[in-house]
Amino acid sequence: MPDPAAADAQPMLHLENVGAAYGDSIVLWDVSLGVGRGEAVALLGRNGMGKTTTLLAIIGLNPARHGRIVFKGEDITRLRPFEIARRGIGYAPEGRQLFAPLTVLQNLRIPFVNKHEDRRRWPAQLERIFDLFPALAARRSQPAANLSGGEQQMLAIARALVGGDAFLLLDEPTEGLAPTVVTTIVEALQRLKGEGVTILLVEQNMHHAFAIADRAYIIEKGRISLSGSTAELERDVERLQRHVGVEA
Amino acid sequence: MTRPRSVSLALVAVATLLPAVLAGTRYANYVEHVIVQIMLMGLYAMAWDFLNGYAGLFSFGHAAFLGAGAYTAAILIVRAGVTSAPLVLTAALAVAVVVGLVVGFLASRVGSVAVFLVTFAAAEALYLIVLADPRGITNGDNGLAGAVPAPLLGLDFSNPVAFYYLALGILVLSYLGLHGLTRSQFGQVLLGIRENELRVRFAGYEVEQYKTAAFAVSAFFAGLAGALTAFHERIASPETVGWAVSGDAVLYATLGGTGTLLGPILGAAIAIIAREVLSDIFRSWLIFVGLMYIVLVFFLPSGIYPLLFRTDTRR
Amino acid sequence: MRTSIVLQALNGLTIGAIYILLASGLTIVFGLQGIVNVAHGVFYMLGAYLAIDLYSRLGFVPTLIVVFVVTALLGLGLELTGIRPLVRWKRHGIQVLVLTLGVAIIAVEVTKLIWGPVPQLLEVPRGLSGTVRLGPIIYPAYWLFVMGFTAAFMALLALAFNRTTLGILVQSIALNSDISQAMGTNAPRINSMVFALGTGIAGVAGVLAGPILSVYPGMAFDLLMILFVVVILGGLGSLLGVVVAGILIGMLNAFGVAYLTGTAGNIFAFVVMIALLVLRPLGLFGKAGILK
Repeated sequence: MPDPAAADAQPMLHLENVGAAYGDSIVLWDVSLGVGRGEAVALLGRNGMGKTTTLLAIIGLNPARHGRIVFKGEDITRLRPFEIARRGIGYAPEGRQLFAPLTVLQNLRIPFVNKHEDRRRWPAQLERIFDLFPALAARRSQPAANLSGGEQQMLAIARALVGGDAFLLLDEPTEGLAPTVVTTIVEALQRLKGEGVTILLVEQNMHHAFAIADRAYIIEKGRISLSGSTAELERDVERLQRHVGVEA
Repeated sequence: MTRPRSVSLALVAVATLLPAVLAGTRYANYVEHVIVQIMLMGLYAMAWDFLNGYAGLFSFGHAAFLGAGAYTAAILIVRAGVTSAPLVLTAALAVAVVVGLVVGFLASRVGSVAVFLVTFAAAEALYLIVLADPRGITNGDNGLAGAVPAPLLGLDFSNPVAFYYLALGILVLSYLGLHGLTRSQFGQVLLGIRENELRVRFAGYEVEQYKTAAFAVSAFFAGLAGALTAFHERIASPETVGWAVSGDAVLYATLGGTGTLLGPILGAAIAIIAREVLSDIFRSWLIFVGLMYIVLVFFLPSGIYPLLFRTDTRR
Repeated sequence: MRTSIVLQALNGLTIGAIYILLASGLTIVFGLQGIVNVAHGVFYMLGAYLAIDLYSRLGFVPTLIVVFVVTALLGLGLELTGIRPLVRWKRHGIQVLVLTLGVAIIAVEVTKLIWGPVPQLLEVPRGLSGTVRLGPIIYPAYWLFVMGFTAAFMALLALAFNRTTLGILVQSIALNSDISQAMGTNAPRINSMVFALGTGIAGVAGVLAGPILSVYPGMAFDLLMILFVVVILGGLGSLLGVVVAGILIGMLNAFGVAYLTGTAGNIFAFVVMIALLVLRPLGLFGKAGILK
């Protein structure tokens, strides 16, 4: 399938015929997609179609059984998760999965020390985070478990950012959040995109996805069934809903 | 690679003919004694495998059920003077099942890792009780000797050959019984629980009850092995309830191949034969046992079973 | 009567201290990797036996250091060659149990070959022999030292976990190893280091416990069972739990041996353990939801 992202630049992240499974049951059959530098790309689809599995394959937590994953020109398919993370990918998993008893600062400190040689950049990184998410600044010494749903999501995204990463992998960043909170998150992500951060996000909610992404892929039963710019896809919402059945 | 059924039939045939072949030879008694041990320990390990390989419940306290059977039988015969075999066996099985129900009740209500801990704790508690010898019933450290029931219908339990065939028969019947159970509705639910407990629960099954029942079944057969062991060795000793014996069940089943019912019997055979052969040759034969476990883990993670039999259907 | 109780309490604390030192290694490793190291007792045993040989030649403190380094390195070796591959192939659980059991059996047999099966005597180091007067009680100085050492060590450990970056990383692995690795944590390396620390401490515990409990090859296994109780009771992965449970079990042991028939105390401990597991599956202080 011709990749509409065959833009001028080499894609920053690039999946070729990736397959993955849970134990014996195959979830991904043949997934190919690309994300260019500075782009925001969405991966849409119903539950169980393989969205999260794709992200897990990229970050190495559920390695691909076949195919290739290339990041910044390097084949990362067989690397271990911490090696992949240290190459500049920030990950905000589904359901946030924060380190609940640890404070906000401690949660942020972990990816920072893992990915940074220069510890002196800590204050600058923190400032960037708190500028983006002021709510977190007020709660910095609180255990993550004490944060509200929206604040937890902010922390999850901040965790993915604080490594200085220019590439974010976000799994359902707006799930279960109240509309006002969603707006905050979406605005933050748009701002990040404006700063040149590359984003690949998984979403169930089309509208939220289209608010951030330039392009989208639809995944169905472990394969990409549709792809295109958000503009193209939005024109054809009807057809989209037939394919995906996601919330409109 | 051969089908399990034909090999097991062959083994049973060999086992049946063995005493006749060996009759009169110098070492007939010894060989029969060892094979009976293999059969009884095989039964015990098979009972463990039913719980672990099919219901997914890892018990590290199976010696509790083995010991319950052994000590109930011994206590009835030696302390209460009850020598009727059917009575003693029934009582031993009943007690083992009750212990299984209690342990199962507790173990079914905790997470999967904790099952190992709860069963271990239960077995250790029982072990300590046996050692503590309340009211002098269990005779503590020395074990309770003389646990042989009176002859039944012409079957003399102290006759090695007679006991050999008794054990063989019981092993075969137990295997058929357990095998049938795994194919039954009950067994399928257990398999479902092992694969995906949540889904089975949502389908409306009372998961805790099934787990408890599985424990009871496993305890039944382990208790049976225990009572027979008491008859065979003519003594019930505290080691039978110790954690090392609990570990034996795990090891035999792992060595032979879990989830196969036959595997544990194979594992028991290998382990016990190795012990018998090596302990005569080397004073520190245990080193080979340790090496065997290490080799097992790295080269035969599914035990011996897959080497001998091709498993054509995915379980 | 009252002095007798205080005496037993002190005994309980001393025994408890040894349990705590040993159980802390076990519980942390379980919290991090979900594995049970049956060979943990082997390092304890090695520490005691090495002390027998080294005390006269090196003196107390150098012996402690040498034993720590040796048992830590041996533990590291075991972790790298045996355990890490199994974890990597996702074959934990029974496999690690059987592997460490095999290693333990071999180690015990080799120890018997080298030093003989008869229990040996490890004497109290010269600088610490003698007694101390605590009010109406006279108590061996060495036993007080063991208590103090353990207290200092645990305090240091707690500080390390809560205040240092490495400690936070370790906590994160215990909480959610996968996500921690997705955050860039080199979990395999940290797990190996912690494992080695655990076995090193076990060796040190062996040196310290030698004069108090006897030194014989079976000590590698016998103590293991009580350690399981301590670890479970305290809550898998909880250091505070290990401290509390260790003291509790130590006390039960001391008072049980003194006032009841020795085993009654242990039976009580097991019954309590089962009840706790059912009612509070996480033990006294278990944090991360490892058990349920």
